[in-house]
Amino acid sequence: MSQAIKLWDIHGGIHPEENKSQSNQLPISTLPLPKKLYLPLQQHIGSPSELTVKIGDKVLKGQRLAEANGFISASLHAPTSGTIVSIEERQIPHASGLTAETIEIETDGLEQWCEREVITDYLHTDPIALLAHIRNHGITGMGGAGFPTAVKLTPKDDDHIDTLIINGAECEPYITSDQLLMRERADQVIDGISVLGQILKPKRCIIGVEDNKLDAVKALRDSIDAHPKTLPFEVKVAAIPTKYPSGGEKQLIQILTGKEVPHGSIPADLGIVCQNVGTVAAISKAVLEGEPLISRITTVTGDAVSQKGNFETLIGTPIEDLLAHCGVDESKLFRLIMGGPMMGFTLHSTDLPVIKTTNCILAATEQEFPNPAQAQDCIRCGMCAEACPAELLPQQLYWFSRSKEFDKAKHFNLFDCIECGACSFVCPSHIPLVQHFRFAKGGIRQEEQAHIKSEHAKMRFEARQDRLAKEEAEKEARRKARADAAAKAKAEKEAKAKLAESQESPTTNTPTADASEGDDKKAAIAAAIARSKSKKPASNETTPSSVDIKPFKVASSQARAAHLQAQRALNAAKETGELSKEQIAEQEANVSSLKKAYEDAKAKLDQAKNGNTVAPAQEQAPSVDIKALKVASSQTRAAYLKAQRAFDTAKEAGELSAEQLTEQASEVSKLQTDYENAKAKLDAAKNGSPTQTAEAASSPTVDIKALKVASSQARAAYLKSQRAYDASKEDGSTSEDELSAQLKKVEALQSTYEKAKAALDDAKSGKTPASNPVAKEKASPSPSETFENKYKQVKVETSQARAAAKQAQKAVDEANEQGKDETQIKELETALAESVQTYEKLNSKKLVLQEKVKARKAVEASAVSQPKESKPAPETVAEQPPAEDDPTKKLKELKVAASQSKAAWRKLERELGKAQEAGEDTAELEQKVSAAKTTYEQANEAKTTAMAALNS
Amino acid sequence: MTLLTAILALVALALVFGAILGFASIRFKVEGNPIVDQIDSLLPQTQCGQCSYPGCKPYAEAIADGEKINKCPPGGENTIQALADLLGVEPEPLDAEHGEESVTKVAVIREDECIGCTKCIQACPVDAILGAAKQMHTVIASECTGCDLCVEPCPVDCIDMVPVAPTVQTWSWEQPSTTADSIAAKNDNLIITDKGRGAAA
Ligand code: SF4
Ligand code: SF4
Ligand code: SF4
Ligand code: SF4
Repeated sequence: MSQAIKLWDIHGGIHPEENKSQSNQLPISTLPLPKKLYLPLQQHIGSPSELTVKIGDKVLKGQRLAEANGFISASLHAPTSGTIVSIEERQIPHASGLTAETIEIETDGLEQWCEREVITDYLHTDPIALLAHIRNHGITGMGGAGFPTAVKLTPKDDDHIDTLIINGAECEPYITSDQLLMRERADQVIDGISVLGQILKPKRCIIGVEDNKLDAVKALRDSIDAHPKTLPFEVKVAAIPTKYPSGGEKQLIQILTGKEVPHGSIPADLGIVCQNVGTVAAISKAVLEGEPLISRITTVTGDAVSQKGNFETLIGTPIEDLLAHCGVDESKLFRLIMGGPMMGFTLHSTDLPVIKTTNCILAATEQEFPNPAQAQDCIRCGMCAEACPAELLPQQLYWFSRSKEFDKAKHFNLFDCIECGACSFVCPSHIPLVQHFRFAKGGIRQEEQAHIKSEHAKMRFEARQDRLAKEEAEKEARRKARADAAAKAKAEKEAKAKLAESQESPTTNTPTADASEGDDKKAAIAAAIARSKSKKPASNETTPSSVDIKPFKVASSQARAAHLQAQRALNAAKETGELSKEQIAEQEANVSSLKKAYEDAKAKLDQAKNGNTVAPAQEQAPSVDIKALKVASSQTRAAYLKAQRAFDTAKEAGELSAEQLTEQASEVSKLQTDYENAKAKLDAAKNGSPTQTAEAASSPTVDIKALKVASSQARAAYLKSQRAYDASKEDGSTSEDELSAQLKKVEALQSTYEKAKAALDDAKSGKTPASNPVAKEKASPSPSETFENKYKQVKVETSQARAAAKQAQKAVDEANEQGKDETQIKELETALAESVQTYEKLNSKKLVLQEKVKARKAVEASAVSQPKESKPAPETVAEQPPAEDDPTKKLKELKVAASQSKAAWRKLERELGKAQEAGEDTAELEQKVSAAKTTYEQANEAKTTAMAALNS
Repeated sequence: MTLLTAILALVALALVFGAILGFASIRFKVEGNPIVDQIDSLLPQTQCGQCSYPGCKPYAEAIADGEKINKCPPGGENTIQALADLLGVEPEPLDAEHGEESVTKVAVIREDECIGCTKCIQACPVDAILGAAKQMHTVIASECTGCDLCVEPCPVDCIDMVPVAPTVQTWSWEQPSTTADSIAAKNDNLIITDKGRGAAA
């Protein structure tokens, strides 16, 4: 049968010594069954396969161990029967020397097959089913990189495959596995071609074999002649001239068809599919015998082994076993290579398995593969360009790769390089050109990845910025709406109040005179001041027990005015629809409370009017007195709250100067003290006549209630002032002095609150001695809590100071940027230095307190971790934190304490390190560190004890 | 007369093209500053602020205004090279003042130590941290840029910056060394050459 096939030539190429005769003399032999097999989950290009077995499972030969995970992936099967003894990270035969998950099978020697799926009538089977069969049997490319075969055989819709090319060139020196396969198992190859023919329906098929393997060519031709029925298309074998790298996919296509695969496309775009002979044989085994890819032919050669040849090797066989079988001389083994000498890579251990792509193991002596010579400078001889089968300019690419000018390398078609190494082979200067190209390709891929990632990060960052801006805008809008409403209400109220005052107490309206001028906000401030002034006399007047109608009247009319205004404001807000539902609800609550206040006041007034004649008697009746005091108290409270609100609004609007703010703040705090005074008096009066007042007499809890209210109010006041302080701090317009004044106020409020709380606790413990242990437990703050409060406060201060410092820094930067004049910048810089100092001071204070808190916590924790018998003892109960009865919660707290103290300790240590580096005095710091360490150790111990207790 | 015609024709042409150009400059006006965007797209977008600007975009703006291009440690030399190419200036070595180029890292929260304070969420510029108040927090590793910004705010110091280990998928070859001593050390990186070298075909 004459098979004259027109052949084309490729550019370049080299003729290295073939070295094939060492291994192609003997027939393929089988290896004894290894004791252990190691199967990495990643033996192919694409994502690693997904495990379907677990440790301890008995597996049968051919059973699936892992299945394809994603489109570009392949499944993995048990090469023989046995037991899975481990699944762990092991080094894999890969150029990187990295580890990957590997299944370890202990073989049982039974070679028990699982049920096999055979398709004998493949010529009448749907190609899709055949593809699925190939995919299920784990077939990957056996020639090179191990690309999943089913993927390569799944053409895009618009591709019509007319030529099937079977690659039997085997152009790399030393390797003979394909030659032996074609020589001995030509029928398998031809059957595989016939299966592929059913899938791809090509018009013709060409098997390309280098003319140094004429035995293989003959075997194939004979087999084709013997299979006329299963091959409904023309199949030819082409003996091509021996030249490296004619076995490259693109090169072989060019030799056999004269077509060049253009840059950036794949052979399928030209209607060509190329498969390796080994892969084709594996396909035929899978379809006709139902045997998945569990073994392959591997060449073992090189001067370090005595018995060179080709072996049918199970996937997963340790290379050690393979070499031992071939009589390796360890002393001569200088370099162990997987693959061929041109495109293979060095292995650093023999403790690696044979994988699906292991076509050759080359155990070389130093004479065969000496260390490469030192690279010299490029002499621009151009030999590399002559040798390059891809018609590239290696010397150009070398420069760009070396200097990492990846863009230019890409421009010179770096990605068309097939990494054949022909250029390195011919370079007289021994420049490792192909290594540079591999590096550059990797670098470009990494850069692309980095770019994708950075684009993604940018998108997310921008999305976050947008979200924050939107939130801020919403907050701003709400704030503005509230401020407007409040300002309006205040202005109206002012007018009313003025009217009322001029009728009721003409002497008190002087400060309102300037309220009519200026904008709304000024009016609001003035109003607040005026009100505070106008109410002070009221509260003062109520202290004497003489009952005067006047204050009641004033109170009543004010309350009414307040109520009406609030109502109006609410209506207005509702109409404009600017407010959210919650805000309206809030306002409504406000209005109704005002209404109630008004009604109360009116009732009082009526009462006072009616009872005017019996005033002396009332004087003696403490209940009336208490009522009066109550009224006074609620009035001052209302005044205080209003002032506070006004202050808040003003602050939020942020248009006031710092002085105005402080002024207002002091007003507010004054009002608050007034209120507290009134309250205290009221409480005193209540306490003083507990038997006379009906409520107090009936239940002692009323008093506690009052105290509770007082306490929570004080707390609210404190929190508000704290917030106000924070806000003014943040907006950064207030100076340090003002801030510290505010801070003092905050502290005063806090102590008030704490006092109130203490009073409340006292009252509780006094009235209900141990009758309600839960309440008691809740009420008694653990000592660490107070510490913690302090610590928290200082922490807040610290972070504020830090924020201030940051702002100052920003201001300096801005000034610098804007090129403001020197003195200004200097000023800013001193301010910055000051704020930094403040921050540092506060920070050290914070750290000290933190230590203390932790110490306390640790003590408490150890108290808590004591056995439960201690619970009945009242002292211990008082010491215990509220979560005492929930051990897991407790443990969590302890954990937090422990990790916090650990963090503190570490931070201090870091600081110490820094100080030491800077050569500062570290004695103090060292002390601190050791203190922190002990604290941590204590806390940790407490934690472990608690854990142990919990576990037992 | 011909002179006049020529002049008139030229004037007419000038008017017509002027009008077209004027229209185009309005119709196809470029929004923003294109060079800033180009620079920005070369920066790594970690938003870490190591360059002393509050983010990548501000640094891009500064570069457009003549700031040095060697202040971005996460981008490292590749970024400097790319910027130098874009702007047509000489690349300079990375300014050590702003930090050194290091391997890519990713934040990992030691989850049993997290107290759920949400501070790290607020610090993360790319929303790579998942969590809620009083709940355990965790980092979505694929979104984390390794900017380091969440480490400082954590009150219990439970966030570690862990270098990203290469996998078989992300690994790539190193640059071959060109000095004599390192060749012997890294010889596996060099081509396996045959004993008898042939000549080019
Ligand atoms: S063969 Fe080597 S020396 Fe000659 S041009 Fe190429 S790289 Fe330079
Ligand atoms: S390694 Fe690349 S550049 Fe060198 S000869 Fe082969 S294809 Fe050409
Ligand atoms: S998780 Fe931390 S390191 Fe990662 S991007 Fe967010 S802030 Fe930066
Ligand atoms: S900052 Fe730390 S403790 Fe707070 S939520 Fe984040 S990881 Fe948890």
